[in-house]
Amino acid sequence: MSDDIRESQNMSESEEKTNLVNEDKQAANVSRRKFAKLGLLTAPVIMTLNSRPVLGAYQCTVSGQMSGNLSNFDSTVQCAGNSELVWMDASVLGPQGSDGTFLAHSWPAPFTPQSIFHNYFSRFNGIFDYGETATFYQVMKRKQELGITGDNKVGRKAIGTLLNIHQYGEYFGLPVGWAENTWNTWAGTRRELADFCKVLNARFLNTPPPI
Amino acid sequence: MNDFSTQLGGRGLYIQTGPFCVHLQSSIATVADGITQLYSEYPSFKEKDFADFHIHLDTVAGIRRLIRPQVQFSFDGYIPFKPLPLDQAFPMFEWGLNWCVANNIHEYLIIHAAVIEKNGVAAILPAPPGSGKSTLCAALVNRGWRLFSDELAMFCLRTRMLVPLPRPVNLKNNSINLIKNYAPEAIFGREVSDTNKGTVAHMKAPTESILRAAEAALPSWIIMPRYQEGAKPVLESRPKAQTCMDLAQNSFNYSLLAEDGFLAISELIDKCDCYDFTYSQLDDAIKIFDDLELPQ
Amino acid sequence: MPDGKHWRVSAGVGIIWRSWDSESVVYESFSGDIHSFDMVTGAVLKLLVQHTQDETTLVNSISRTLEIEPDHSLSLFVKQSLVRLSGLGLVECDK
Repeated sequence: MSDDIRESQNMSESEEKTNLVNEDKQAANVSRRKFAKLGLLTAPVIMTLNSRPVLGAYQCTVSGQMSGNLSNFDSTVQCAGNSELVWMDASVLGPQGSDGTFLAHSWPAPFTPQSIFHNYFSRFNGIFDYGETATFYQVMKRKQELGITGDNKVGRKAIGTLLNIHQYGEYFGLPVGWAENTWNTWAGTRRELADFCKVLNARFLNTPPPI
Repeated sequence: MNDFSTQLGGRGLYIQTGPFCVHLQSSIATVADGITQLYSEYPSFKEKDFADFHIHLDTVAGIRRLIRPQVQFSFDGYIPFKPLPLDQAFPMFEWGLNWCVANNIHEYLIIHAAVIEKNGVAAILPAPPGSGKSTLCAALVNRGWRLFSDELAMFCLRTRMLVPLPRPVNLKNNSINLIKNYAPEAIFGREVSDTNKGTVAHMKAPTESILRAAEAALPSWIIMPRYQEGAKPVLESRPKAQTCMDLAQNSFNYSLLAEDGFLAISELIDKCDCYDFTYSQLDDAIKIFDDLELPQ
Repeated sequence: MPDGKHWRVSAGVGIIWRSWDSESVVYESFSGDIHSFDMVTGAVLKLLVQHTQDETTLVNSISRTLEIEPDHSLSLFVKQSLVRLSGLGLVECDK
């Protein structure tokens, strides 16, 4: 039963007075808890789910547009999914700990902002090498974290696509494994892959970042 | 078994699936085969005054009839999807019908989740793809649980109960043989390869779930399953506030329903115990589910 | 230290509130958005739904309600909560 239902239950006036008296008596004996010891995180945690249009995303499942032929892609199709900005938003990542980790994130399992990028996306296929230890968070932040500007944001787009697949699956329109397989077997250029991912990850319902 | 091919190729067949009547017309042989194998126990009619969905599955005209033929899905005269290879016609019917329900039926809060029932109370299993939801659902309904749906949880806004929509369970890749071995008596449709999901096959809904399709149930548990190879079975309570957000995120129409949608979601949270469930063995999962206690 | 700014729920905001354990989820009826809050942020919003308050009063009220010492950590957290809630458009400051 939710607290607000309990709160709405009425007390008689005498019960209320009795409770207040008892509370006063106990006040001197109650030591309030220190905030720091409550186990709360060090910054406010707010999760937001934006309202969105009715989900017409199932058509992404049966559309067949991901057969690999880019010319069949219908950019007007609206599917479930988030932009990279949303995946990186503070309300989705949660607060960053002193060790740099994000323990309260909302990314779909098994991925975390600390996941190693090249554990999923090959380093050696000529697309881009972010370094052996680069995390998803670092690749998303690229220049800030890794000092990289020349990657056409391809890694960021790949991560966004990967997270959308795992979060929304058929409602995003792609099967599990598609993002990694496409990266690892891509025969085009880096820019072409980034463009392809950009088109894919643009297929999201247009919700702004929560904050 | 009835052979519906003549009727489907003519004026069509009216099939009652849970609360919805589907009027299906198709001359495609694999569609007729799928309907015959998987829908023969459902109430069906040659004529009816009303149907919730009028669906056509047709081969695409022109040169496509000869070269890599394709199938087109239309619903009430509207074509919502691009065509698929002809071989995928029956899966397209199933996916397309799910789409029709999820996008058009708004007297229910509809959540992307499996629902199973026992003794009048139901468990909702929301889960993103790849979590093993459908495999788990298929196993449970072959071990005494009643199938409501493997895909669409429907919470009636008027009665405040979960309503069954028992239709074939969609299994993929390794799960197909896993469930065939786990439930040798289960009836399967044809395996279809090279879809966006890999190889898919549909398991017929158990007879009892079809016969009891008018019996609703109270929601009692919300369980987020996660298959993890080698894992011991672990059922852990999860915070209700987080579950509320997750349920909303997995709902097709909570935004359209606005305040009513939020009130419905929060009522489900009020009524249910909420858990995360990690497992690797189906028998472990069956035991955990059978031992579930009713919420206090 | 909390300053003397007064805060209130933003004009036009309508809130449906649900709480489970120490966490809150609200539906904001103007936007249709749903938000979940930690214990303190939820308490801040709940107090502002009742009436306009300055930060000092908010800190003291939360201190009493949640039985937390009204120290610097709590004050800072309340301030941060107000900033986040303001960013969501749920609360606004009387200038």
